[in-house]
Amino acid sequence: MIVEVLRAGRGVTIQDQGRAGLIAQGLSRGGAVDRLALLEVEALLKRRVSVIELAGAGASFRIGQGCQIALTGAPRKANADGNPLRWNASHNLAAGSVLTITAGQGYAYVAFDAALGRPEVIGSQSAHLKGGIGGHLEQCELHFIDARTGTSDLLDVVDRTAGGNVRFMAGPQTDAFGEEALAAFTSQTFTKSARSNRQGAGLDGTVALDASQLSRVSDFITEGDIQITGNGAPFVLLAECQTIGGYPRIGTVLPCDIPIVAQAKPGAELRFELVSTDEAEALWQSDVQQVAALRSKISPLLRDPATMNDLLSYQLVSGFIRGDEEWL
Amino acid sequence: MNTPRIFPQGVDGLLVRFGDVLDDETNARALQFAEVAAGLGGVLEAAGGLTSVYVRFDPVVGRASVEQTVSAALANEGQAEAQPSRLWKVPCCFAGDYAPQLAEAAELAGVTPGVAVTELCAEPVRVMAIGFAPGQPYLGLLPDHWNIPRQTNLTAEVPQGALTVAVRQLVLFANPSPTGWRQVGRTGFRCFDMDRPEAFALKPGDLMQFDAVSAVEFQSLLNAPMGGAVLS
Repeated sequence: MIVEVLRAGRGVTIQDQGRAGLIAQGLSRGGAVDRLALLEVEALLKRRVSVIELAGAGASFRIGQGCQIALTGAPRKANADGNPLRWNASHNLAAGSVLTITAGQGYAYVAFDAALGRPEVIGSQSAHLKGGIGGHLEQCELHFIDARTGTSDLLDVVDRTAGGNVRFMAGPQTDAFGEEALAAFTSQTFTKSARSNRQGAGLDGTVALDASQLSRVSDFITEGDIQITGNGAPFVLLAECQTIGGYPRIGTVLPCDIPIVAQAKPGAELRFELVSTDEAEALWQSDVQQVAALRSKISPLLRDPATMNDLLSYQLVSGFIRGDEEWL
Repeated sequence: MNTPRIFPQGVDGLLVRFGDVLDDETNARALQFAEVAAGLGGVLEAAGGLTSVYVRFDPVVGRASVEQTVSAALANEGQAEAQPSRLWKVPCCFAGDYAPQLAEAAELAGVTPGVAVTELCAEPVRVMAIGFAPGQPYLGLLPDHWNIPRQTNLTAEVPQGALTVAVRQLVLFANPSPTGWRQVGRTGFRCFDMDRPEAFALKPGDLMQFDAVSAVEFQSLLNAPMGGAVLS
């Protein structure tokens, strides 16, 4: 199957699980920024495939063959040949359909139920922009094998673009902040800054630093670390984080809460709650466990919007949906 | 010798810290233990840094079990042994736009720019850690008077191959990047290149010696393999 990329804004990349195991070489894992969205794709399509990540940007594609697709992550407006497509769902698109996804906030994901035929670089097809592997997707033809059709399903997803409570655990430098600074950090409401990319999410707010914390020996950084930069503004590191750095880290956001930080819209409020290492371990779930849990939240899409014209005249799913909100 | 301390580093990781101050012995211990840690049960990867080792493990195995294994290995820590090192000779331009902060860095180190260049090229520096970006080396240690602070305000971007200095170390940038380190030179060295058989050029313990070249020579070396760097 050939998928023509008709249009792709800056920030559209191929992603997968990334490249784990290269910290000694200075390369962070990378892969999809919102790993939950990747698992949602896996739950909807019933297999693991490479996805297209739309970081802020929009894109359109012409699908060469009938194929199931999944749309997950930050909700966007999507349509197939002008017919709206529900987000957090899978759909069957006919051969020749043009799939259009609008630009918007956060990280949106489009996946085709097919295997992308693209060479792996060090075990992954994903672009690692900071690391200099791959790049932004441009007009091109993507070649897939083993394209499949399937069911049109809806995944029940709690919105994670509005900010909220973020749990973190202590790390090697937490104690250096002292109780007062830690209390000030956990009692403060931060807002998501527009200074965010695949490397990290900037927050507006200030954490007091003393001079000694700015002269530390550079040390390891991992995804989820909350780094306090020279001017006191926190930065939560994401998939393409640096592997070593000099700025102090107050702790590490739990993997299950990283999507809340990554997907929070600019201006969304975020508060941090310190949990013990034991709690963090208890909250951890393997990909297999997460996908199984997601599978239980899937229900059939009663009507496939791609086949519905004059959409607002339909009464959808028991009639409690206005019809003008769910599609946005 | 400091007793190593173990800290959590994320839900699937821990950090073994051998000291709070960077010196050759602490760095050698960290690099040596990284090799040991990589082979321990339940460990998925280990990386040696300046003064610490990062260990990533399978959370299914559990932190308690991995910490126990790591502690037992630390109890048998051997004397850090000097490893045979490779020497890279790397042409570097310390002039004009290629060295935008040389004068400022030299002043902080209390020497003239000319003396600074002589000092930075006089002795080989050792790769003490690879990190921040793919294949990017932290090199040291420079003499004491190079213990100059990082800038409080970041430079918006240094180019690929930039040679920067702070806290008795040099960092040779793998990719264009913002940084708090001051750029004192520019090389054509590519720390990471997927098209090479060995994508990552350097490994910890390698030595690197800089050779001052003119801007004209530097330009002519830009397209040479490894920017004219020679490995012996």
